[in-house]
Amino acid sequence: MSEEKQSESKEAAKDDLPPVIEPGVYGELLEKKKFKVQHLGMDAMGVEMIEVAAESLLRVAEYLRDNKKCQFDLLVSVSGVDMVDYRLSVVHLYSLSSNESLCIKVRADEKEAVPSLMPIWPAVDWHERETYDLMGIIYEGHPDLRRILMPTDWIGHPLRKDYVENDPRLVWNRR
Amino acid sequence: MTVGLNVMNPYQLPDWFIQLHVWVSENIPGLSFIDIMDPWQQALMLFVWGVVLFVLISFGVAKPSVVFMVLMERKVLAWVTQRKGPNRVGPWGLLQTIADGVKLLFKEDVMTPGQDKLLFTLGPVIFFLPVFVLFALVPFTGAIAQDGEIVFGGLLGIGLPVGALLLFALSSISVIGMVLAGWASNNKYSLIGGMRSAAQAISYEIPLVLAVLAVVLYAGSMNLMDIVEAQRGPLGMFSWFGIFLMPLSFLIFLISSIAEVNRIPFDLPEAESELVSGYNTEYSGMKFAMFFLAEYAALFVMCALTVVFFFGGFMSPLAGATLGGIHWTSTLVGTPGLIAGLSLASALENMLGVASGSVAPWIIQLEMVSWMVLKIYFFIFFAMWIRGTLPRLKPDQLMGFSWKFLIPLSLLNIFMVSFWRMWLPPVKDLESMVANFTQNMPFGIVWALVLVVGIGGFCWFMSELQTRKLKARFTQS
Amino acid sequence: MSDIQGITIERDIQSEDMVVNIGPQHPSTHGVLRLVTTLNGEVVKNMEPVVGYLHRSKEKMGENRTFFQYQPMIDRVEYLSAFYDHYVYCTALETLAGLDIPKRVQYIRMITMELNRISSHLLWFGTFLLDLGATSPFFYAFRDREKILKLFEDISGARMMYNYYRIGGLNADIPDGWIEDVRRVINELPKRFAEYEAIVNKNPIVMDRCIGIGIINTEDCLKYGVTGPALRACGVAQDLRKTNPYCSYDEVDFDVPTSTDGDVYARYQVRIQEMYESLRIVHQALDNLPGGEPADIRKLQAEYDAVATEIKEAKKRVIVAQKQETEPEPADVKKMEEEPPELDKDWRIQGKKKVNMVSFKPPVGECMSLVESPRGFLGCYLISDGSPKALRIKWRGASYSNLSILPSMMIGNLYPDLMAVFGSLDVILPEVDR
Repeated sequence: MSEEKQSESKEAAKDDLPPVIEPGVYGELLEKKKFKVQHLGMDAMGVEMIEVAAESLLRVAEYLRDNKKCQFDLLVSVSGVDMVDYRLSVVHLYSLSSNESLCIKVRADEKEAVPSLMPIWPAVDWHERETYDLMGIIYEGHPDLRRILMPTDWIGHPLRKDYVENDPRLVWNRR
Repeated sequence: MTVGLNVMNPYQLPDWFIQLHVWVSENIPGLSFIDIMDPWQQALMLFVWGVVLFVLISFGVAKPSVVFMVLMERKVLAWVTQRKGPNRVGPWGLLQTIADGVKLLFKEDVMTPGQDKLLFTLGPVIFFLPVFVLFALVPFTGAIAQDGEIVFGGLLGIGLPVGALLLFALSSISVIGMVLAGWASNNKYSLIGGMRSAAQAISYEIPLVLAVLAVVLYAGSMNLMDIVEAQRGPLGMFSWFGIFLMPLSFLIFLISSIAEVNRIPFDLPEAESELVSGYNTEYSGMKFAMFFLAEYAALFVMCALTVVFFFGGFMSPLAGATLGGIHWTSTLVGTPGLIAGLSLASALENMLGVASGSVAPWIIQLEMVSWMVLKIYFFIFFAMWIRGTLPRLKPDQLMGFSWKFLIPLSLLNIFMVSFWRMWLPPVKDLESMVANFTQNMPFGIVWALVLVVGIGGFCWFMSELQTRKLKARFTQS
Repeated sequence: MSDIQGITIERDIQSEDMVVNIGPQHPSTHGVLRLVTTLNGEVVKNMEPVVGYLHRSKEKMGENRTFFQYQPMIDRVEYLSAFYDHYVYCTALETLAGLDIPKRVQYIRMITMELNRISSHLLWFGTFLLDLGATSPFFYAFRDREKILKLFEDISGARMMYNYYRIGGLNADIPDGWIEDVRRVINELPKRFAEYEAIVNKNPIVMDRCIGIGIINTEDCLKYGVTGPALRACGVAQDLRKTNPYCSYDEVDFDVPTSTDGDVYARYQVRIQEMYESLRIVHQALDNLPGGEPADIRKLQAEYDAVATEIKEAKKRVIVAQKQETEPEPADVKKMEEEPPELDKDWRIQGKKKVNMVSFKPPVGECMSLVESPRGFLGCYLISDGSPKALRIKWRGASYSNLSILPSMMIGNLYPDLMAVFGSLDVILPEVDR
């Protein structure tokens, strides 16, 4: 099942993306270590972007943190992106030793779930809570996944494209 | 020639007051039971006279002072921080406090449901009352004698022989008000504030009393009027306790008194940035005004006591001094003259060659009050200056400072003062002072060495403990 | 309770921990932060920050507005250093669209950003000492901050919500005499900073309350994603201006102040030193500002315009002559072939390519721009799908991560330490809640 899904998602990703993408430094490094990585090229600032499948995320993350050539020790941010068809969890990393940045994208499955990065970078705690709160991505393995910015009894996840504004189910919108 | 201190009975009633009673008993039929010779009725009259004076002090000195101090504090703080301060209500903002007071009077008295109504109301009252009673204990002027008789006992509500004792007994009561207010408010910040105030008051009352104990030891009396009179020496202002005799005592008293009235750097019970407003968070309207006024009144009283104990009370800086061939005060009871506090007026008499006592008594009283108020306001200004300068301590540092530093230091201070008392007993003329000084020289030198080593070593040790890590820090960076 | 020979002994006094709800309205939470704190006496046993009271959905607003419409909103993300917000946003868009930024624009941006860092640190200095209980430094700091705000008002018309940067340039050139004003202010400030240090640095109460309190090390910082002065106070010389130079920071000389102690006092010292370094940067930027005074540029531009008009007129005369089939004057023909002189492109305040603000559409792509704001990493993650509205705008505020370390710093410390520790982190709640 999972293999099928993966191949499907890969194909879908291939359709979306421009055909020729040179692997970056870290993508090549990961590929050498037999990690399944999708290269997404560089963003406008020259930061390398890679897409990692959800099941290999934790191992890739651990490698990126501990390997001497990477040492991405500082987690900058976690952002959820709603691509209408699917949702992405985008992690930005920074290395204090090499001053390099890296961007990892993980696609959420149909249950909106993505493994939590808490065991690798505890700093993601509030960032993942925020992404869950605003985008509805569920981080599996996060010990305390609650809403953080919105009220605890809020309905819906506001940053989604299909979010209904002034939801009539909310108490303060009833008239 | 020394002054018999016991002659100065502050209860001495003025003539017109006695004559009033006599007139009442003779002319009003229903009141014919009034008998001026009855000792019980005499005592009652004394009490009534005390109340009259107290009301006079309270409304003439205390309340205007408090109203003025609030404005002064704002002006001084504005000056420290390079602002203008209140300047809209009245000339130079003089009516600002009155406007604030009126505003507070008209405010709603908010009570939240969980509060203990009785204690909530009682808190500010218990806080307020003792502070204002304290005004009655402070001698604002000394007694005046004419033709060998005391014509006015001085502006002093209650002149008890144990005045200093009553003073501290009363000032401790205020804390109960704070604790009650903190507890009855049903607010956690208030509760913490109230608890802190209790802990702080207990800690700082000890060095406060020990510092005054040294004064009492030296003056040989607990009567505040006697303590002021004991500071009249041949060196003028240099005979005041706070300057050469017991500066350490003065410093301990100053620090502890600032802690007693809960001002920065010791304003933990109402620490604004931590406890919002501490024990008075929940109060509004007139109850809050009572806290507010009582705080300033307490500051006034504490500064007045600093002056009384250490800075010669109502005496001028030249009182008692022999300078330029003129003895700057007349000390003879029994001849027409003045026995207390006076300097400028008597010097004027001396220089002009007019008979002693020809200056009107009310002018003399006015002069003494002026000196007193001037000195008090100097210390009030000092407290405000400190408020504009220092940050707040933490509770543990506050306790540590009192128990580990001030209390041992004040015990040492009592030793030092007892030594002074043996070497240089209080005298009124220069000759006997010099004689005492030279006679007891070897004893004095030994004691001085012991004390300098003791106190200096103690202070050095404490500061070393305190700053060792800080010093290491600064050499590092 | 135990019963020994009929005597009841109470083993333990019935004592409870007190849960104090610090905030959302509290004098020293600098906004609307709520800290659910469990106190045992004065000792903090547990602490749980509750944020979100200031959530204004800035990120959603970015998706509903065009890039130009959204620009005034981002001042409100982090209002104490709003130039950084604008810089990070404009940079993201400019990089996406591949716009060139003239040197003059970069230098003016650098000057304003560094002045903004000083004003932000000054406000922090005042409020931090106010939290410790000292009232006067607050007014001193605000007095000097006011001078800097006046400079900002001169160039942008606003004191806090500047909205001065534009995509590809600036809203307007600096006004005449502004450079002199800045010089006057930055020459005056070091004396003020020396006064502050004299009143605070070796004050025994400040030292007692700050030294050894709230100690963190580099591991803690990485564990919670703490950046900025708090990270530098742990001995890591991490400053994006130095490590990943943006704007024109690689052309100025400055140091990154660090400390190895990692406590409240170290953070205090790092921030004070940073203000001196910012002054150095402003000095250099003013000296090397391409074009210098705007009046000079205008004068030069007028001269060039005159030449261009002459050429144009010569061209016209030649055309007229050609139409009338007469011989054009040789001087005119010669003139016509001349290139009109152009202003040095570094001196402009807009890039060479004019940007139509209303219909600005960056190409498809994404960009994470990071700057070193006064509080740490400030990032803007922007995804464009080629339409005039962003697909996603994500704000990465330094305060958000810096605040998350607070509970671990506070547990076991005294309640009054909270004000020192929290103040030393310099958290701005609008940036946390966005």
